[in-house]
Amino acid sequence: MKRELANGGDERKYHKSLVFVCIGRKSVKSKNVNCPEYVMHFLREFLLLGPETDFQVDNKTTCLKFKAILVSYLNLLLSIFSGALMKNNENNPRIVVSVKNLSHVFSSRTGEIKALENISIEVQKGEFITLVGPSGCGKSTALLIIGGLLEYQEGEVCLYDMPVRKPNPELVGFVFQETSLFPWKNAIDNVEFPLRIRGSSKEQRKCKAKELLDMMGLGDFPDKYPYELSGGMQQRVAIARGLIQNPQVMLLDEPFASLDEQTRTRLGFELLRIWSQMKKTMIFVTHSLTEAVLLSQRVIVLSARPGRIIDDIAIDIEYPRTYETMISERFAMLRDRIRQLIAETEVSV
Amino acid sequence: MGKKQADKISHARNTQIAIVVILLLIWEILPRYGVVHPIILAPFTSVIMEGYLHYFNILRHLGTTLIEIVVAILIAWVIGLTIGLLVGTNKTLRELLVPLFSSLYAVPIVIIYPVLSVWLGLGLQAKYIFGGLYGCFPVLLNTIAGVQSIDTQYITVAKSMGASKFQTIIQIIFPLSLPGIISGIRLGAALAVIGVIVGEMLASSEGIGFLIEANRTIFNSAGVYLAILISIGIVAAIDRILFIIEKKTVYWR
Repeated sequence: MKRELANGGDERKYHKSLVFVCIGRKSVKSKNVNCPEYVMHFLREFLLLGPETDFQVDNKTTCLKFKAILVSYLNLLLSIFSGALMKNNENNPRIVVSVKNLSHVFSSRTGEIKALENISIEVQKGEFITLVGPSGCGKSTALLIIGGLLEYQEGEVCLYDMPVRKPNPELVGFVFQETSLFPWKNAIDNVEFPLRIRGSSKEQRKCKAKELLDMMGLGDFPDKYPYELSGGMQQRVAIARGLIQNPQVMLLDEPFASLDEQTRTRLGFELLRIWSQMKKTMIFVTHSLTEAVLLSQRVIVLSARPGRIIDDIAIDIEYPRTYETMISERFAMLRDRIRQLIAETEVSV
Repeated sequence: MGKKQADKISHARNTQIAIVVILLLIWEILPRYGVVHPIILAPFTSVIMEGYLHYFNILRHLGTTLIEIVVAILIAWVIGLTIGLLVGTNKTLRELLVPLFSSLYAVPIVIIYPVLSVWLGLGLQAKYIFGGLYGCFPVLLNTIAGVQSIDTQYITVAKSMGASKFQTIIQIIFPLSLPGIISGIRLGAALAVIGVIVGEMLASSEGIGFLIEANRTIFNSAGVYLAILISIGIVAAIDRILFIIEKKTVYWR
């Protein structure tokens, strides 16, 4: 079976280069090797993650993980000998996060608390959705479950068609609510930390971290400690840290909750800028309806505990959104509608 | 620093110095003028004289003691820290062992010495194991307490980055529990020193503790007080060093 690839090369060549890469795995794992672009393309095609996944490529050298190579090699063998195509995501509309009939119960001192009841959410690639609802409705719980930080009992939660059982830091980045930065590390050490525990080399880490800090507007403060930074700046560092492994999906749990209104809005716009630049899938949880309507394409409204999905509202205001958006009629109407929905659920409980 | 503050500090300093000088004067005068028998309280100058006359011998004993102290402190810290981190991060172990350790901590360690000296003999080894054992309990218990005091949010953050249990303990739990650990380390060092000196007092032929005991038996009070002063000096010096280190490491609080 011959497959034609984008740059017109043929398969045998790829086969050989992969063999080379596999045999030379030691050098791949510990050093940076020059990897031809077609091999990268090839790997992307065959891995389940989809064509746009970045392998932490930078311009000069490429560092490949052995597991990825092995998987793709095996896939290659399979496809050659069975003649079947590997699962290709191009046919379905690329559903990234799929939650089906999820229910979750906490056991506490006072008995069992049902946090979520039968919620189903589908998020498409590159979408920006927000979960809102009254306090205690389980939106943070849902986010933790989607990210693999909490084990769920009933239902199905899938990320890129793979069931979620534990955190997948290369696919999912988290930004938490209060300061989650490590106080004994400065900004750049905080940002590079996820790469450090995954074993990246020092230069690579520092380089990438500096890049992200520059992108977040903190290029002048890499060696400041969290206690030396304002709340807004701390959350910028937290966002940079969430982005460093270049995950496809970002989960943000009320990241701006502890900030003042001005900083909150400003950081919201920054987030939108990052979202449109990097084309990530964003799932945002917030209490603030203004924020929800301002930032996202869809707002999913949860009821009071036990959290059920009341409605899924599409925000059809176009991007880029600005301060003007906040004073428009459509904005106010959508926000009030959501507020009403929430008020109704609070009353009925 | 404002002038008022500087004034206050130098004022406090002066008071401290004044108190010490007065105490030294009392120490000197009381025995010399027969208020207290010189055997009970040797005059300060005679203590100094004793040191001057026998300084070489005393230095030799001091050397032995210091070596034992360093080893004992290292044993106390390493064992206390390792077990502390392991137990602190593991719920079942914690519930099982912490009551046990707390009770053991309360037992006066000198009771164990007879047993230990039978097992380990009377050489240097016994002293530093004794000191190490004595010092490891506060390190252990404070490490566990330090680990307990961590905000679990940080653990969640670590998990979200895909850190393994081992990485989480070393890179995150350890720095975060450092305040508790350091106070344990300071206490552990002090106790290790005491353990070593007491061990020397009970059964030894070398060291500062031995000097205390030997001089006691011949009623050479000057010698006794000298050795005691030296012991206090050692503990104070070590504690001071650790205090400075503590200030440097926990700057982020």
